[in-house]
Amino acid sequence: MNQADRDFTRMTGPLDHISPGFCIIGLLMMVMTSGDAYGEFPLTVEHLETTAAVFEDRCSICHEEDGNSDVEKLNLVDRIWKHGGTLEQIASTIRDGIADTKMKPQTGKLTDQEITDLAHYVQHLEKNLHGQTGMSGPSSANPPSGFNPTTPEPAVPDLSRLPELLSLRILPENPVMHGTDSRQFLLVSGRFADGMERDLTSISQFSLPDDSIARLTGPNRVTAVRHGTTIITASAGTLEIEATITVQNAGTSRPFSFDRHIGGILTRNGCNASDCHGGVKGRGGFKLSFNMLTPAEDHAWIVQGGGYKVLTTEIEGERIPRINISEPEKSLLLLKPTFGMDHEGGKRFARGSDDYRILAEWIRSGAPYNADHADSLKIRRLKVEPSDTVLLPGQAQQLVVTAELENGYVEDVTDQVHFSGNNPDVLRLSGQGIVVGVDSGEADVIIRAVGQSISARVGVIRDPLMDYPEVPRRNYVDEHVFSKLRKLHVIPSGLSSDEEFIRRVCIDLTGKLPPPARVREFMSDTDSDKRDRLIEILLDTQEYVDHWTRRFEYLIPDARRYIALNTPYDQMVRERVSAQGYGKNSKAYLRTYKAVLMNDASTYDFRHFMGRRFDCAECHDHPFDALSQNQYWGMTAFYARLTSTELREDRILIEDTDGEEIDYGKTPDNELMFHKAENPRTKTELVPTYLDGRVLAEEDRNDPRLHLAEWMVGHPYFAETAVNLIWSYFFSRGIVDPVDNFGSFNPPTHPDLLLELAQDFRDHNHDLKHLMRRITRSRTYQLSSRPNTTNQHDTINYSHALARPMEPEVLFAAIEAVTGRPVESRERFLDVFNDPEKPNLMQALHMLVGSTFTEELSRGDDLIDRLTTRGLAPDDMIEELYLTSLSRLPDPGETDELKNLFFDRSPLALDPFFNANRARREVIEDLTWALISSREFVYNH
Amino acid sequence: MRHLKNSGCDGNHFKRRDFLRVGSLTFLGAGLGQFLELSHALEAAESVKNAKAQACILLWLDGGASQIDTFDPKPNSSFKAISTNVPGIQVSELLPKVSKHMDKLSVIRSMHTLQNDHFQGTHYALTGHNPNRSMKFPGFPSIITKELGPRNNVPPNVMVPAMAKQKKRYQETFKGHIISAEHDPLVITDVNAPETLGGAPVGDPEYQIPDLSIPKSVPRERIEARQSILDVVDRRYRSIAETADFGSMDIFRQQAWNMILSPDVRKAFDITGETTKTRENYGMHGFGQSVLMARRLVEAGSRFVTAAGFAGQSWDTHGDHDKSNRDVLCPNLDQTLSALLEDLDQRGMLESTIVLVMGEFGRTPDINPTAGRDHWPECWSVQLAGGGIEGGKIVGASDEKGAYVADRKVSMGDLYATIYKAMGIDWTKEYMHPIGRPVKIANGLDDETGTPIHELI
Repeated sequence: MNQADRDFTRMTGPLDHISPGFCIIGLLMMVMTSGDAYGEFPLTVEHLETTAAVFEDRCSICHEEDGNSDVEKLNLVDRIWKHGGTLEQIASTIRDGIADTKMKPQTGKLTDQEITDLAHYVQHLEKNLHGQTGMSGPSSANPPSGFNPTTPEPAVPDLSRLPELLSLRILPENPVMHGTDSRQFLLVSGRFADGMERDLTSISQFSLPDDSIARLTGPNRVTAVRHGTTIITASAGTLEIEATITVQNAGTSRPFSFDRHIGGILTRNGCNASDCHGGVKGRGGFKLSFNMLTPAEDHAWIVQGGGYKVLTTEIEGERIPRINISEPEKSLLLLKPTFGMDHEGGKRFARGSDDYRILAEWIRSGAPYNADHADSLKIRRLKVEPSDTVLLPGQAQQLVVTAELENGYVEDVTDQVHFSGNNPDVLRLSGQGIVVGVDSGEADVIIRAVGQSISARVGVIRDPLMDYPEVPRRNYVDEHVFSKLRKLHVIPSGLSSDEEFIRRVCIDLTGKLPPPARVREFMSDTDSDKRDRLIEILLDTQEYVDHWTRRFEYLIPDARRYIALNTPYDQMVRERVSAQGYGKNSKAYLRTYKAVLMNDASTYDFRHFMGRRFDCAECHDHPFDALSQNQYWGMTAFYARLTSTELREDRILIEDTDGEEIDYGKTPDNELMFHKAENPRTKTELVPTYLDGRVLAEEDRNDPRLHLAEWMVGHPYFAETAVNLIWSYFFSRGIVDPVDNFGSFNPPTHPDLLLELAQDFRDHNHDLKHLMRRITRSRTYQLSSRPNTTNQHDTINYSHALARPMEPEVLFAAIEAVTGRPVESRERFLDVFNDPEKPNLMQALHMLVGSTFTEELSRGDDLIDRLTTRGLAPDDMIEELYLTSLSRLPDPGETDELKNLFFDRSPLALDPFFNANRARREVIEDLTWALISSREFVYNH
Repeated sequence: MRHLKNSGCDGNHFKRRDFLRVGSLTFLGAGLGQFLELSHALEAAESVKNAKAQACILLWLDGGASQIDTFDPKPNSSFKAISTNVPGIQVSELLPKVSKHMDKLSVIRSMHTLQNDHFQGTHYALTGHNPNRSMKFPGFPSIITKELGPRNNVPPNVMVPAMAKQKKRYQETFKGHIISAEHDPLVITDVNAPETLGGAPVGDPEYQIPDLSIPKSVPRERIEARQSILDVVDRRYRSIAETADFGSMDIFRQQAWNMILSPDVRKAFDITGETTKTRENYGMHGFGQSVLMARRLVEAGSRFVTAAGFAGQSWDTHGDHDKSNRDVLCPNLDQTLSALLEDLDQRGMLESTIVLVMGEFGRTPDINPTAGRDHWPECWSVQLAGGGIEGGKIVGASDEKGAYVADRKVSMGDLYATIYKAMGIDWTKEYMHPIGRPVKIANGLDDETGTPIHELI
């Protein structure tokens, strides 16, 4: 906080006598200008020595000289921060001490400056021990750079030790700022000859010659002055880069907004995270909505206290107000997070910090809700830059988050959001928005702001590849997949062999193994188009219809008709969601229960056609996402009057327009059943309401699902969910995975690919065959399953074909193809193999001694008999069985070894195959068993 | 997998953070399955090793037994109450043999559950949760198996016999779902056994447990020889690709083979190893023989065995209630339960084996127009014995008709917590469901963690 701000705060100190309106203006000004007290990094090399001396003098007795105490609670370098690890938190621990411990307050004993320096020093100790210094601090202690995986990348880039710097860019590109005093952090990113991009902000010089439009107010921060545009230049090494800064609407004021100003503090400090007060029932008698999705309710929770009770408007526990207007300092809202009293969540900020002062001021002025026009400040959209980053272990990257507001303004909110990583083994966060690579892998930084979340994808690699081969690309699928692999320094495998491809694509498109004759034919075909032709042939088969019918029937009962006609997917779903009467699709709603349960129907449809698990929101707001309980019931209301009646054998589905309430639990089956259509929590009548809050018009309510279906298939979620589902059938994982769990907490691995697939799908009339063609023609799909050293550990970036378990029905059909006769143990087999968790012990048992793998192979009148009748020589026999089961020829070595084994075993050693006796047949049965038990057979690859 | 080294496990359960990681598995590659492996890769807790109870036999009274006609006699039952060998405790006159073992057995007379339909009731009784569209909950048998780990190569969790085909869905509630499938019950179907005997193996010398015994058509030597052929066939592909799944496949194959060859396992499943007298003591009916099989399995090393008589022993008496109870259900239960308690006691196994007798709910205190009793979850009885749980105790009380809890409402969570405590399992544990919701392993009413019943342990 600069001097002027401090003065202002002092001026608005004890304000009991001043009108709330005044306070809010004061508050608002504080909000606008606060937040940078700890934003800079003042610990210089000169300071370091003096501070080290202070530390040794005052702290090392308990904490050890290097902070690395054996006593866990005293250890300062184990990354466990009992009382918070931010600079501010460490400083306040030093300043205020920890009650009932030997950590006594140091105020009075040390100057403010010394305390701040010590806090920096403590952080420095931790970083130094781990060889990472974040974005700042002295770099002299760091090891030299290099690409030995054991040497971490130094946090402050040293251009003299890095590969050649090729180009620079400024992020955000050409920033636009709104309103005087609005601020923007800028980053400088450099592209290097090793294919890496590095954050060079800390070694860049910014210059802004014309400071009448905007001026530099920090090493990498500009503050708007007045309307206009100006040029800023950044230089690093010998390179320079320019960006245009535009300032608009200078001079407009900002109304006080409860959610932005108070909610921002609660969000950034993690108070409303789903594992704290943002959890379903709140925590410790205090409930907040996740990300402050419902500000008005949160305001009430703060003012009144209490915990949330599922499915009722009753409050759990005693209502203890979280604020005390007459004595703001005694408010729980201030005492708890500053650890002035016991707080399970520990210390979140210090007394006297900016957050503290703003909250105190707000309480003192009567804890108002929004001022007029506060909604104009609501965050409409977030943007994070860079949105995907590749780091080396130890390398740091600052993220900058900007928000687009309802009023169209753009605002830098980097210091108003909450950052969290979802895999500490891959990355860690250091300070506000600084990510540091830990070890190779991929993870997300989840960024929560009031009402919105967004994520940034971070890959960490160990070995940058200086030489990266040119990889041919066939379509946009390859563009996206291979570009990402390039960034991750992973080289895709080569193209699959013909045998590999024909087996894979036949299983994927038709659920059947290719017959041996087809494999031979395909292998000898020399046409360069043969793969595309094969795809076309397969898309036109009856097997295709059977296979995809089986896959879709659970979702869309009338699937067979649609698949056979290649009906556009949106039409299939539209007809299915709006099903009525006797139609086959009505069965979707008449599945298990005699009555149609509207919740079942809505969550099922939403999950499968919109890719979201809405179910959680039946009883409470979705714990990790922006789906509220009200939205759930609004959507469910479209199904509220769905009912069924029994007519002779058939049940029909009808829409009951009166919708009166009866107890269907005690109604005979042949009577109409009506549903209680009210929100079980608020007890208000359900009104069909789309996700965006739009209410279905009264005149459209006679057939609400017709309108719902129309809305669904037109929603962006719809095509994304569909392409992701289809994609998952070809790669055994979705771009969002699990495929029915889209959400900000589960970001896609290839967001742009997902969008382009969805766009392509819409552009081509939701044509499933077109989509499958696009996927199977891509080189990505056709890659070999043989990994290379760079990609062998990859399971999510499609660098090589992964072995995927076959669906039980497909595997069973494959076994029948090998036996050449119907296998009678189908039921038992499907029972055992339908287990979602696989492989498992039951399957292993069945494969060893179960009837499919024993008795069923010995029944005769099968492929073995037919091959024997044809009088095949041993080599040919083995070849034929290999082609049938594995769709490939045996290697000569394999044939020889197998023959040897048989000779060893059979007493008729000379030529077991031509001696028509039981031993010979047994030998072939055993080979068949081995083939259908092999990894190569059981998986599609 | 390097990124798994900090497993993020706190004890055996996951934190929310770990769930959040699932969506973003590193390209060092571990699937969810593997991720979950972590939980069972961990050693069983010390407390488990030192606990008295090492196994549990569940006598599943499928369909729901009438509390007032069994262990909570009331005037509105057609049957009289009789005294037991514990002064002050009475049971129905339909259980004369059990009444002589009352010192070993305790009765909870104030069970209160929330579901009134068979499937929902079974789900609730096995998981402590109402069925939920968005997630499946682990059944307590699988939780116990997971927490205790297997013994002696014997299948740790067994259900004998399988439920009827149309009740497949019910059987699912016994599974672990969010824990590894190896903790799911190995379900014994005897397709050859007469339906009237509930499909249980009752001693056909030819009887073979499907998928667990070597078939006559392919002798052991051949199955062993097949492995060397498989080695040849598999070699090429093994050199190309190695995945976690493949690794597990090998491990499971080895385990399966050990299990198939283990003489203990074969012996355990071979009910003809019992004397005719013992078999007759348990009762020559599906229920009796299933329970006897359960005892054999626990003796050999199983951790949890669900024994029922399904087809011949359905407690769902919507009609002719009194007749069924008098002629079949209670006599069978009386005979089998008393035989089991006596047998376990004589073999010194009672101290280490919990016997749990329950169904999915109780039955209405009033008789319906078809002389039956309908479903009743409001207040019903559950019986416990062995494994360090005190016998001869009555927990809670129902009202004068056996309709509502009059004293000390007991939830499923409390019951699980009691059993877990006896087994040394931390009953306050939560597992993290892959969709990110924590699941209490002893979930009581109002989603609170259950409390062990102090009167019993």
